Amino acid sequence: MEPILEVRNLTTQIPTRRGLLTAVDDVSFTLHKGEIFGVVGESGSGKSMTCRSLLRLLPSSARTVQGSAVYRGSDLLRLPPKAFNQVRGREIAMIFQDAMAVLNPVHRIGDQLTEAMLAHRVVATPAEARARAVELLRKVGIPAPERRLQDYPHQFSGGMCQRLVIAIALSCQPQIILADEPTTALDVTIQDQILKLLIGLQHELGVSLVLVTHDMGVVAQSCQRVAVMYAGQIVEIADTVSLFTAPKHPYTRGLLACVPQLAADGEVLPLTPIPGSPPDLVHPPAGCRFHPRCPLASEECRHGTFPLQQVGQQHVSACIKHEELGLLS
Amino acid sequence: MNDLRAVPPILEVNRLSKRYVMNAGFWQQLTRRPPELLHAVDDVSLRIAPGEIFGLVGESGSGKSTLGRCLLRLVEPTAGQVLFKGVDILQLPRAQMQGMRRKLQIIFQDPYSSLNPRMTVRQMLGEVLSVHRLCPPHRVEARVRELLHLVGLPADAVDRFPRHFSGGQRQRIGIARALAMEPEFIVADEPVSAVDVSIQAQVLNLLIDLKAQLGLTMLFIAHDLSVVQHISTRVGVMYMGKLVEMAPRRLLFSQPRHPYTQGLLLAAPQPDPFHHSTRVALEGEPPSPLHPPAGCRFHTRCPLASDRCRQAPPPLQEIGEGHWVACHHHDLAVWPPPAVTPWAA
Repeated sequence: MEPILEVRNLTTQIPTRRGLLTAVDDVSFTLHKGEIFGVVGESGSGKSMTCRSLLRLLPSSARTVQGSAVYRGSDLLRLPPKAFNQVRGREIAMIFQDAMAVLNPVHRIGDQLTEAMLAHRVVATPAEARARAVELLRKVGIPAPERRLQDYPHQFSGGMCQRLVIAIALSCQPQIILADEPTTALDVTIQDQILKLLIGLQHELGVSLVLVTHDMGVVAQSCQRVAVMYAGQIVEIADTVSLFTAPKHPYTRGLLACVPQLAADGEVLPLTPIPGSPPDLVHPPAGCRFHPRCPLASEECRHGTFPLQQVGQQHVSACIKHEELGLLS
Repeated sequence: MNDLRAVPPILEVNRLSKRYVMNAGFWQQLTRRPPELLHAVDDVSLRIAPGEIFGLVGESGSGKSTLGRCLLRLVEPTAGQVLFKGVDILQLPRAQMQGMRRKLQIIFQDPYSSLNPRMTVRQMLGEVLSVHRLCPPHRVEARVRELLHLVGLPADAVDRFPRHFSGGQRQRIGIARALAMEPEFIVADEPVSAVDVSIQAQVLNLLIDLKAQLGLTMLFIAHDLSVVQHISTRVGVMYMGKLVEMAPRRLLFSQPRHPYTQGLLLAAPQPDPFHHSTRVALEGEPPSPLHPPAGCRFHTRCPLASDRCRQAPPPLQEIGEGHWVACHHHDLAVWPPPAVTPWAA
């Protein structure tokens, strides 16, 4: 597997009235060519901020204070603005959660679709851009694409808007797509359509996809590898099957145990919630950030730092007690 | 659940409808264009037995929240009956409805907007207790603490404001506020959709415990099938204002007979990496509720749709013990569907 994006020690902070909030804390991961890499976590875990840091789409007060993100030999975080604009949108595209808010309500769909292609000079003429736009709309499953280029975003439903946003992201044939909760705002039958569209397109085009989600179901259905985030840090990275069958971090295990699962016979098992709630990121607990909620926590978990350690092939975990996980009932 | 018929229902809904008049503004009057009608809830009937948790599931716009609110008259229904212990609450005058409200409570979805930010927990719960004269003034303090304990909040929460609590804790306050009234029936309107999954499990378990402890009867509204499966004793599925299927939990999830219910079950992504499908569960999108299709409202997306479905709306009929389906072709809806193809490894 060939790495396409290597993120090392990424740290992003946001000043707040109460102090400095570390939204992304020393995050490192490698994205491989042609894979779907999931980033899963609850709200405030830093998964969206990680993506936004990579594309410099942070809120104005936030700063990426440390780290590197190497794409094709150059560090995205240190590229001068002009060179960076050649990468963002062209080589690395992003899909956001709220498609309705992403599209400009006063411009026709056709113009919004061709804008990036023309700006990045992927196509030579507006006519060529239009032809490609029609082809893209067909690819993402929008009926009567020639006619719909004239329409405005309000004439599309939520699911159709998300299809449009996917078409825009694909328009410059990017190498990497960062998809931030692309299906969260959608109803379940539409979510299913969009997720399968995204997986199908990724398969067909061989693009590398980072899929940010809070939904373990979405991860299981689409990703090859997964990173689990908690309180700004990555606590575990593994291939999907290992993560679901043999998680090596108590947080991952806790997450899996508290997701209600549909049972074919309609019988239900009791849920085991994770006690407590996620920590305040301005004053995070010392030591392992999960220790106040962890069933395995002991004295040593309360101090020091817990870097990711190899716990299996392609499997890293930040928990020093991962071996005891199997003993928990 | 077999003795469902034997027990008189605590709540009986008969042919309830809620229509909204759209575009009835100045311009419409000027142009004499007839206003359009939106059927949010269309001719829904159901019964809820004491001690039941009736799960109501559907996508956005299916009318499930409107139905829940109609039951408490937070939204006035256009037609139909809501019998609470045999009394039609839709006919009650204002003053009597006030007294009835104590017995009928609601838990809202958004724990951020449903609590008054300027009131402490003590004031919030205390107000409820004194307005409805639920306990003598000197007992209020003790009762507030008892309620907090019941929903698993620390005793020192009484003097704090909503902003001091996390989403899950706020939801607990909302539950405590509903329980303060000692209600006989609770509508829980998507109580766990706004909270994170680790907190969702806490709230679900709390509701299940409370049901066992206090014998609560509840209408539990959600869009997430697995959540509904988890908590409900009986489940109803709504699509575009219609109740399309209703059955005891086990039956609905093991033998769904309406193609929409089946599609919903297939579409929900399961946290199981060995269970894949590349096939889209349900094609298409719900049509505009302003111009619902003739016949069965689901026919535009239904894999089994025939001419009959395009003309005649299917009635909700009982096809088995307590299993109701509104589909002309329910006998053709195969479950489980033919083997799903796994993704290329």
